[in-house]
Amino acid sequence: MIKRIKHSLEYLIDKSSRHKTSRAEEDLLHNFTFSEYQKSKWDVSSMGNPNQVALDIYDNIQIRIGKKKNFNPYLKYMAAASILFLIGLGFYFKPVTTAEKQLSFKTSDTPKSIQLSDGSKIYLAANSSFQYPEKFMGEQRKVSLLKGNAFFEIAKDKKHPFIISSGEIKTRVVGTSFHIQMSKSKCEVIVVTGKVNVSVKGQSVDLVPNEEALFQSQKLTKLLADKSFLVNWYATDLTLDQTTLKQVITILQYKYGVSFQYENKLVLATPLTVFIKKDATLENVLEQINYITNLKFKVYGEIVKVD
Amino acid sequence: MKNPEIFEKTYNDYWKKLNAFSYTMTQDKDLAQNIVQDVFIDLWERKDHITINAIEPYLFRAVKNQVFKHYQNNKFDKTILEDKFEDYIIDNFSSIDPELMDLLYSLLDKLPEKRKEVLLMYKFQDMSIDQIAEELGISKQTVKNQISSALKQLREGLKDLAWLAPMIFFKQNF
Repeated sequence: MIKRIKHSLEYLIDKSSRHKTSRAEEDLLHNFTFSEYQKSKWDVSSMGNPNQVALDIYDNIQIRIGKKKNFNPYLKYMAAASILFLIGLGFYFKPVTTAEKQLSFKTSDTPKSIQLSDGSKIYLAANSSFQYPEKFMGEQRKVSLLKGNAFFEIAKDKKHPFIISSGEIKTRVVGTSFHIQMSKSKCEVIVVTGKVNVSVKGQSVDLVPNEEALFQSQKLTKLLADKSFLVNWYATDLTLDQTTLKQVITILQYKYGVSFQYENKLVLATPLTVFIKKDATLENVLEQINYITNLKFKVYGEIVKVD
Repeated sequence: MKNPEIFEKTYNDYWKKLNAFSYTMTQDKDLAQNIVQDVFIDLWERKDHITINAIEPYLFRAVKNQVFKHYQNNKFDKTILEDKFEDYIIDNFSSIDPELMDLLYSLLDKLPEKRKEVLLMYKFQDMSIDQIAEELGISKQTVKNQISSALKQLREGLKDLAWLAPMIFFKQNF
């Protein structure tokens, strides 16, 4: 057997090109290359006369851009024709899309699920609110998450893309399952199965399973998702085995739409194993944690204080 | 990036820094220029479809990705970049993310006890060669030798991930 030697850098770059790197690994690659970027300086003896090189590269760019332009002189007309065609389609289909009766669906202290007219299922976290048409009509299936968090299992229908608005963000899918988590400061979309496109204010990312889009302070970024999000925790019993309070709190925040407050950050590292039944109330789960850890929880509406 | 003037200004502002960067990474003059050229052509072609909040990080990332692509396709002498990476890891030992430190510690654990101790004092506790020599009651030359062989061994570990791989895969499963 031939043992191929693989350099740690090669390992990381290969992994990164397949989008499989963890955040820490990606940071390491970034920091390393960025430090090289900052250190790099022009060296005339090895890199040549900068004025000449600047012109050479610029000329090459112009040639390549120019070539592309002349490549198909009819392209312009084709583009114009297809835009006209699309505008035509718009007029043609417009009357059909009117008059969808909107219904809303709200949860208070327990998560609930709902089935839409196309067979899609929405699992809504506690303290959340969702709006959908009684019956989908027109080219697109449009719904809105107005508040809180939800897990979506969208029925496949390639002809009618499903579009979810959550705040300014639009999530566009054909048939897939994913989470959307919305709070005042940010919105996250986490994909479990299928492909999802997320767009906001001209920014757009495509996601595959295991990836998440984060929209925070007006910026949309793509990240690797936390493993514990990759299940539909609204509809399944959940065992969080040998995890930390931090992890458990994260899930509870999303499932019950509450936020946690604590005096001392150290409590977050408390090790524990909990079992969350799918229809458990927040009180059930907190009692269980209290029993195991001796931590005390007080619930004030949507805020939970940890002592 | 909507019009040619802005494109030209962006080129003038950044081409040199980017070219110096691509050259540093590849040590290949022609390849380095091609990378910069391709990045700007790509920018031009996509200018109507993308919104870029900060142009410099965008261009930096684009050049970095091109360099990585050429690295994967063996388009330049890979040992240059690999040596730089080893230097970076060794120089920044104490500031690397704890998650990856596991990996480095497993490399460190392969070192003989004495060598490891000396390296940790030197890299983590920021002790000088004199201080280490005094603390351990050994000569300065021995300290220097221990450090250089420890670094060499660490470097070898970074070069060959074969025996590290099972551990990395193990981590991925959790």
